[in-house]
Amino acid sequence: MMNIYRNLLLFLVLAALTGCAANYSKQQVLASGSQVEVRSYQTRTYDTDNKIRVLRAVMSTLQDLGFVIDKADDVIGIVSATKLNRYNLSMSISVRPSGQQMIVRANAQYNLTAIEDPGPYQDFFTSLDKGLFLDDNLLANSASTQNIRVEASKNLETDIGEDAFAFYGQAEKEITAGTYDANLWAKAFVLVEGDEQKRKAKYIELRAYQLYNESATAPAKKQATAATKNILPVLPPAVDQSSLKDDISGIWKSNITGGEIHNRNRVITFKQTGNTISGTWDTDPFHKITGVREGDTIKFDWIEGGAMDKEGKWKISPDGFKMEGRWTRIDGIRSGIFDLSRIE
Amino acid sequence: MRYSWGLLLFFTVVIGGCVTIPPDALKLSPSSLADRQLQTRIYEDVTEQQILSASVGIIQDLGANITESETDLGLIVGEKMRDATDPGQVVGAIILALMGGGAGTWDKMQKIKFSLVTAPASSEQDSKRWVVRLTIQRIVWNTQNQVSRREAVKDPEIFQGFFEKLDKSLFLEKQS
Repeated sequence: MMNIYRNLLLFLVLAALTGCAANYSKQQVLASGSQVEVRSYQTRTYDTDNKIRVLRAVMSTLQDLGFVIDKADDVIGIVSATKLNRYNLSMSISVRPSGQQMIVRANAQYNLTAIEDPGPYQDFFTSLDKGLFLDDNLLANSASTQNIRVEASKNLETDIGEDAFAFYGQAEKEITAGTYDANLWAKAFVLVEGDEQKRKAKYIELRAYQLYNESATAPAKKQATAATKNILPVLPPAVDQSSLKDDISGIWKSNITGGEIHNRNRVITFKQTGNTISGTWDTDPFHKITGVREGDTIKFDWIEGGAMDKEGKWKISPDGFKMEGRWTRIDGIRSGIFDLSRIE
Repeated sequence: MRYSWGLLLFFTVVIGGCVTIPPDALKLSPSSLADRQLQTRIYEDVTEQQILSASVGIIQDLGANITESETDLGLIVGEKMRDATDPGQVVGAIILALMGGGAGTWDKMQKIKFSLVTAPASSEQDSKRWVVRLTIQRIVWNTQNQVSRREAVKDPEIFQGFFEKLDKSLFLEKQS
């Protein structure tokens, strides 16, 4: 009895050893594992035709993650980078256009083994999404003001291109000086699920976006008033305000929280035809909203390229100037606030 | 009782046999914002090309070879091999050896890599503000040619020194 046990153990130990040992064989030259499956989580598609922008976002994301960029080539669309932190983690990322989209594929190697788990790749793409979004946010803000009033923007100095870095510093100073926003501080605590160490970082992130948005929306408001005076009235007095409640068509500003993205202040243009609602993010082809209106509620689907679809419900305020609601990812794991206020 | 040792061995092999990546290796760390601030400067009223060519000069001043450059994406990479002998470490190793600790090893040489990336500070077509970010890494080998350290260099003085030189160089470039 004892013997059988021992033999079995020996066999298991040997099996475990050979299972993991890297040896010189054809398998080490060719890849192991299911390539189709591995490729699927090494790859993500983005709805943009700007290859350089994606490549630059890849580079800055890698730098944020502690990598040093070794090589980059925009013609073939490759970035290689290494992270040394006692271990040696090397990545190469290729960016390849396909129609109006960019296919981003990442390969990572940890010391002597290829990473074939989905986790690290998901982490990488989460960071890249943020990198592209931060970039996007700048784009959306500077372009949306142009969209609202092209003529007005010629006359007004806008410093919307101001980078977000300045605000990170400011946000950090608030914590050291103890002048932080108590509500946001508490919110940060909830978002990091009670991890005191991450709380500060989360606060800085939230606050920097807030400060950035404040600074970016200020010129937009200024422009809107200037536009009212000079070019086109935003809301002509003759308009029957009650009709705004029945028809939500127009330009709205969003306040979105939750998930991986916070305080997304975007400009969304809605169209209402009968009971059907459609919404487009100004200058951002990533997002589309479709919805059905019933009385003063709208059920919506929110489709975002490269991310899981989301759905939710809004309640329209009696004056038709506000819509309040929440979004939930279809797998139910993420959700957040999705409020809107009317600009025009 | 005997096979419990075998079991222990089995689990050690199963757990330790496969090297796995640390779970936070590809996540933003709490220090990544501070690192970014340390490694980044913003320059105004310059072209990306001016920054890149000035940076090449400075990396050369540091004694490194330029190993990679990409102008469309704004990247310069340079490397240098240097002595890594630390007198303190050598003395320590010798004392250890004298006390019977076996042949001592100490750090012998290091490869230092500089990587500089420029990016437009705003998304306008012809941005005049550029974000310049420098990252540095080093690998250290000991006297037995084993890698003894692999790490990112995050010494604030190094970055300050580098960007001061870049400031001057860009200023001169604008004057000429």
